[in-house]
Amino acid sequence: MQNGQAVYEIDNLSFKYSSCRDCECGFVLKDISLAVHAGQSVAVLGANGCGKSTLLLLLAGHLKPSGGSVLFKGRDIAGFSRGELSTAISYAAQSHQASFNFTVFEIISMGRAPHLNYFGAMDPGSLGEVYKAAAALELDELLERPFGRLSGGEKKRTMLACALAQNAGVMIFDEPDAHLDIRHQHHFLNMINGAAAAGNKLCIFSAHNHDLALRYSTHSLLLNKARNSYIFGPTQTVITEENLKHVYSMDFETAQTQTGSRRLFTPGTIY
Amino acid sequence: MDNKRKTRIIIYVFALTALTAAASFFVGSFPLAFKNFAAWVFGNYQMSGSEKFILFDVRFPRIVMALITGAVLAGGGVSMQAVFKNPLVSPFVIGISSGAGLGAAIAIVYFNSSPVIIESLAFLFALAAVFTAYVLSGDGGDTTLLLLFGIVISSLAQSMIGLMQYFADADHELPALTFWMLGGLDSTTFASLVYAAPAGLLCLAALMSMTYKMNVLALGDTEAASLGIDVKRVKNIIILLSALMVAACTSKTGVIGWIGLTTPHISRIILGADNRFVFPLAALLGAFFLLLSDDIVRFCGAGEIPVGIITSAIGAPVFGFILLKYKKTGWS
Repeated sequence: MQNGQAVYEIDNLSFKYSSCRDCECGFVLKDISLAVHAGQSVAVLGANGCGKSTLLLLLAGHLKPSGGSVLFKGRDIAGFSRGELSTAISYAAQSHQASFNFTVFEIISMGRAPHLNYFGAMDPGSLGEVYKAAAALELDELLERPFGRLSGGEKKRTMLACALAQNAGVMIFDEPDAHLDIRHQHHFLNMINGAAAAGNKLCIFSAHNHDLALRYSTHSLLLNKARNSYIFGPTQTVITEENLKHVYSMDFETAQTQTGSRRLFTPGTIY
Repeated sequence: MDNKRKTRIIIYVFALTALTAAASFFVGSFPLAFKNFAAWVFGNYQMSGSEKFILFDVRFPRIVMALITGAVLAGGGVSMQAVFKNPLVSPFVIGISSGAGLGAAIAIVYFNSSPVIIESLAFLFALAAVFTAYVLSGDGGDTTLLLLFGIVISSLAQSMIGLMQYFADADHELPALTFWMLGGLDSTTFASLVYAAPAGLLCLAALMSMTYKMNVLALGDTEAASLGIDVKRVKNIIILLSALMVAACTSKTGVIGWIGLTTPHISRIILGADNRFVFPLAALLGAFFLLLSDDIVRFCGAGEIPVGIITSAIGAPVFGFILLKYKKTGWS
C-alpha cells in the first residue's frame, strides 16, 4: 500500500558521531537509501552497535546526517522546527530517566505538550488522549503512582504511553519490547501495527526479536554492522534464515509451528 | 491530589505569609504598638517622626527584601533543579555565591567597605562566575559539564576569598567579610530595593511562566525535544533568569543558605512534582521562612545577627524532622 508521497525519503544517508572524528571507528551508518510510506510498520533489526538507535534519532530529527539527506514529507528534516516536528513525529527512547517522581498520569500528560497552551492546561480532548494511551498500555490502575515506584517494565510502558498520547502521524519507538513482559510486547506491537494500517500512520520500531518483526511489521530494515551494509524490503523477504545468519554471525534453523501457519527461525550454532 | 487542592494549599500559604508580613511591622527592639498604629490609621493618634521612620524607612524595606529574597532563592532553587534534573542542586550551584563573596571581599578589603561598591562588585562577580562556567562548558550544552565547571569556579573563588581573609585587617575587614558571607538583612534600605525588587519580581514571573516546560525537561533532553521544547534555549533562559535574580538579591543580602535547596523539597513533599505548583509554593515558603527568621532575629533584639545563621539553625532541624518520615520508606 504505497499511496502518494513517501513520509521519509532517505538518500545516501551516512552518520558518524563527532566524538569519533579522529579515530578509526568510522561510520555508524553508511550510504543508506530507502523510502517509507504511511500505513507501513517498519522494523529495524541488527546486532548491538549497528546503528539502529542512531538511525531512529536521525529520523526523529535529533541528529544531523554526516552525509546524504533525510527528507520528511518532501522537505529536509533539518528545516523543520522542534514545534513542527513535535506534532508530526513521536519518539520514545530505549531507556528512560524521568526525574523528580512525577506520577504516571503527569508523565503521560506531557505527551500532550505539543498540543497544549503555554501553561500546559489540559483540555477535554487531550485528557481523552491521555486516558486512551493509558488504557492502551494497561496503566489505568497505576495513574496516581509516582514514577520512582514503578517496576522497569511499568516505567517503559509509561514512556510508551507518553509517546502514544502525542498522537502523531509518525511513531518512532526504540526497542519498545525492552523490559516488557511477553504479553505487553505483543499487545503493544500488535496495537501500533494495527494503528499504522488502519490510521494510515507510519510506525518505525527497533527490536532484537525478529519474531516480533515477522508478526508486527510490513517492512524490515536489517543493518549489517560488519560490512556497513543493509537489506530493506517487505518483512517476509528480509527476515530469512540466510540474512539472519549473515547479520548475527550464527546459524539459524527454520521451523514451522504445528499448525503450519507460521515460520520460526530458531538460533543454532554460534561462530 | 487534584489541582484544586494544590491551589488551595498555595492560597493558604500566601495568606499565612501576608499575615506574617503585616505582623512583622510590629516586631523589633523599637517599641511600636499595633493599637497605636491602628489609631493612627483612623486619625486618632499622632505618630512621632521616629515611629514613622522605623515603620516606613527601616522595617518596610527590610520586610519587602526578606520576602523577595526568600522567594528568589526558593524559585531559583526549583528552576536550577529542573535544569540540572537534580534535586540536590541549590541556586548557588554554578558559582553565584562564591562569585558574589569574592566581589564583596574585594570591595571590603580594597574599597573601604563602601556599600555601593560591595553590592556592585558582588553582583558583577556573581554573574562573571556563572558566565565563565557557562562559556567553559560549551554554552551550557552539557549540564553536567556546567555543574562541574561551576564547582571549579566556586573553588577558585573560595580560595581567593580565603586568601583575602588571611590578609584582611582583623579588626574591621575580617568581621565585615565574615558577616557578609553569613548573609543578613540588617543593612536593607529603600535604596537596596531599587534594583533587587524589580529584578526579583520580573525574573520570578518569567520563570513561573516556564514551569510547564520545566516539567517536560524532567523526561530527558531527547524526550523534551520530541515534545516540541527547544531544550537548549529553554535551559539557557532559565539559567540566565535564575542567575540574574539570585545575584541581584545575594549582592544585597550576602549569602543566605538553606532556603534555595530545601524549600523546593518541602514543596514537592506537600504537592508532588508538578513545577507549576511547586514553584509558587516554594517561592511563598521561601519568603515566609526568611521573613520569619528575620523576625526572630529582630524579636530577640539582636538585629545584627546574620539571618543566614537563623535560617540554618531553624530550617535544618525542621527539614530533618520532615525527612525522618522517609527513614522507613526511602526517598523515592
